[in-house]
Amino acid sequence: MSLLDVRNLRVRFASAQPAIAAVDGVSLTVEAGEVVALVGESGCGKSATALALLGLLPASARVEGEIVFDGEDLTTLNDRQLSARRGRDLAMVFQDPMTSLNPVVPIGVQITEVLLRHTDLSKAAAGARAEELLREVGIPDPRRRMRQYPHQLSGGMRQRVMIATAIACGPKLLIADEPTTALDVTIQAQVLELLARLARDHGAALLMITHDLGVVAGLADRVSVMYGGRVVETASAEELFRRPMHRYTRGLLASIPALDSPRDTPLTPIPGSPFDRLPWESGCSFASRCAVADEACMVPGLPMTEDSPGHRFRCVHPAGDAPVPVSAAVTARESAAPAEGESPEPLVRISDLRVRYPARRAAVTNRPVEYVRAVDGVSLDLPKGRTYGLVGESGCGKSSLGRALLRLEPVASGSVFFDGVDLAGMRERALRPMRRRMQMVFQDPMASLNPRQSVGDILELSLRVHGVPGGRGERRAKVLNTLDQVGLPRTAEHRYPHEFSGGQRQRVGIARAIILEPDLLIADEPVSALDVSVQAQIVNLLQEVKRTLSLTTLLIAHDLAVVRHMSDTVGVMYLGRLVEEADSGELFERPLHPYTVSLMSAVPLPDPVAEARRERIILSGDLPSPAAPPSGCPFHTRCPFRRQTRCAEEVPQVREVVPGHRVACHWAEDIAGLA
Amino acid sequence: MSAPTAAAVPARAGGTWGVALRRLLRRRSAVAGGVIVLLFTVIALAAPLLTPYEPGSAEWAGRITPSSVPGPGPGHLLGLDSFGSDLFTQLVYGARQSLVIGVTATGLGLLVGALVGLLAGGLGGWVDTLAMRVTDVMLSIPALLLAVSVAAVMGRSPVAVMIAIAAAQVPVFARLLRGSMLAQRGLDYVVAARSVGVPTSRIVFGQMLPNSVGPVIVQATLVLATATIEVAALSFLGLGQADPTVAEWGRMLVKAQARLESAPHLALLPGACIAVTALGFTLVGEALREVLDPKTTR
Repeated sequence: MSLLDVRNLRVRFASAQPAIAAVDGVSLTVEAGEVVALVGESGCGKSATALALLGLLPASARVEGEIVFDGEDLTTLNDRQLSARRGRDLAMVFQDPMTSLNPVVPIGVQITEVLLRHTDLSKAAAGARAEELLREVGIPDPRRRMRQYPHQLSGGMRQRVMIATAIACGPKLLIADEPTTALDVTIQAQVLELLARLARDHGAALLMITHDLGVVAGLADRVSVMYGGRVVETASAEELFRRPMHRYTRGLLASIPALDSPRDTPLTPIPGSPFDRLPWESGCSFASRCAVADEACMVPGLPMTEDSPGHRFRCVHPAGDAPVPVSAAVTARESAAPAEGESPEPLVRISDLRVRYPARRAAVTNRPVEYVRAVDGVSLDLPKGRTYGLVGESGCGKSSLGRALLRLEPVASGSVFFDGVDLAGMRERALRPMRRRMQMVFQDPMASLNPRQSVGDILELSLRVHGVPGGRGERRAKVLNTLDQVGLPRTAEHRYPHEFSGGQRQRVGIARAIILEPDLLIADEPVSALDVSVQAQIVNLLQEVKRTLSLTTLLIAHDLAVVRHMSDTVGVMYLGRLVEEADSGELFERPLHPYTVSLMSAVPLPDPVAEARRERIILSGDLPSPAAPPSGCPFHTRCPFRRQTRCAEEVPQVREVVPGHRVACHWAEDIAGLA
Repeated sequence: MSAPTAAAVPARAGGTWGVALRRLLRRRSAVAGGVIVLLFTVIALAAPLLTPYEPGSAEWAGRITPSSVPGPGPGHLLGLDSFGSDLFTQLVYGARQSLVIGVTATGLGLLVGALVGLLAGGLGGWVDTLAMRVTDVMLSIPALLLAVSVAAVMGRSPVAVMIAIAAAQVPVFARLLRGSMLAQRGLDYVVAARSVGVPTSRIVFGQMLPNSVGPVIVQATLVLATATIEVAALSFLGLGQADPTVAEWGRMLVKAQARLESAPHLALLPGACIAVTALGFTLVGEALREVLDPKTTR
């Protein structure tokens, strides 16, 4: 008998109109000690499933079906019986450790509470056990940390505390809902490793819910892929990545750029958004977005087909053994960038740029007395017509650099030459005509569009502000033209941002950026807020507009695969400094800075075989605060290759170690074995 | 979040406010509130046509005894009040005073407060610091004390009452609009407008202000409701209308206190008038807040 056996689970929210089933017949098993991943995009019902398992759905939800856990149907239990099991036999790790920990209670008390409720330990014994648990999840100095409040801990630390709380009573099943989505790549690697190890050590099964196929590959024994409220494919991790059968699974795998996939080929996106799904009663939910769908797919309540033992899928036209079409559907386009040879003239030349934010202000005068150095002396060139990718973890200053370049943040010192003009000291009024030539695409397409303006008004505003010649009619023609260019219907003109899906909103954001036909485009995390299947559409669109408008692009992102896919040159930032810069191919093939090396090794690959083969460097510790950066090399506190001399005392300057490859590390040659 | 449905979106004309008005008219509570407000406005304007008597005339004072007040009867729809005036006439003319003072005071407070908030939130920097320190000082003075001071300086008059009520509301409106604008200032769409090169004044008026007025409008309707009550409170303290013959709901409440047991309708009726007017404003305000938010689609 399985530890967890979910049969035909349905969850319906009374408030939804019409009452769409968020979970529409999910069946799922988890064996004792097994790691199962539940993968899907937003709206597929994966989180509602997790909440249903724990009985934590809001009162407006109606749950049908059976959830048999350890021989007992959880749906028949009342609230008291359920809460006796929650935290003891069944525990959950949530996505955001800030909101799931009580902010006004010290973390030691929060863990002890769980122990006191579910075990017979005395107060003192529970306290001692809590300390032990904190040590086990890798929190240094647990005795002191016990008395601290959640806000005094970093995001990674908080997630560790959540995990400690979850494993406190030795649960049989641990449910982790997007446990690393809010964390940086290097921290994500630590937390994933911890979760897997703890589940193994404690003999607990782990049900991991995520949208990230990469995270799954190295961790899960079995994977279930959800779409439109149902499991559409389930297989062992190895089998699923090797032979994805369902068209959706295949589409997902084809639409994410991998660190080892060929560059310069457009991604194969899945059209539409995960919200345009068909009801299962009328046929396959994915049919409206599927390239091979036909009448045969319109079977009400499509059943699962068993392909080989343990590999089942719900698809009329399974993909078979053909390789995952990384670019099969699209003919490889000519390499747009003459990657080799001399670099073109820089359009933008940044030298010794510094951006700082007030960290503390004086009491009465409100004057800043302490600063966070967000960008701390960065020099780089953006070659004309090329894409420069800037990567780094949160807080490294990459966004501040992008915004300072557009003078959206004040520049503390240094210069930003745009086409020969220094923007850094310019007055806002003088700058305004220049703004036409440099535009930005933002991360969150909802926040970056005025909710009260129609798309037409949003786009026209740019034209009006810059006094683009031509009357109303011409402006409108330009707006419609731009909508065509970004692949939006012309009717979008009269609609408001909230009426669109995330991907469509980002298209509006791109339309706003390109309607003025700028020379420079700064894209700050343009796809990280989007669903996986939609990301590929936007990546391709950005590539396309870049080509048609011959844009110079600064791409700011934390996703190395996306940066690699789109950029000609890549720069890596750490704590406000540029630590490495090279041609994209060179950098990903031969990273020289220890930070870049660790960063790349922390990125989970969507391929269990490669994932098992490679050697991982898991960085210890957290990102130091940019308000008090370490002395010497900012990375020396976490560097696995740290030397006794120079690292802690002397700030390494960016220098050309190999032709065209600049690195800020004293020992780059030694580490890379070049010397 | 609503899924994109192209057909469901009506073709629009007249911009945000036109859309808001049409959506407002589709709400039952808004229409009910509007009818109440309109009704009292008509009553206030048409007072002389609705009643044959003059307000405040005490010509039937002889019929009042310490233990009884004549109730409804022929000639006097609702009977007499404790001073021997026609109660219905007093209520009808009271609508004038209450609405005029309430609306003007709120409008004045809103105007000045919003202006201060707009400058503080839109410009930031030292303007913001200065404006907020001044409002802090104003907030630290109890509203009633502030009102008493204003009345003391200006003497007993309806204008003094208006200014007193308005003055107490200025810091509230100012802080509200400023806070709401500051929240907008950090959002990406404002940064996006800057990056496109939209001049600051156009960002403040065209982008930030329309997204910030929602809470201020709601606050205004709540103030409209309470202003009517505050007028009464100030009258009670003897700071309102100097002329005792001018009908005013608040003072009617005060006067009715003495006869609460024998003639409760003397308090109930003006009380009900205040409550219903306040309800009307609140309904309209609440509905207005919802329709001004484009995310609520109905």
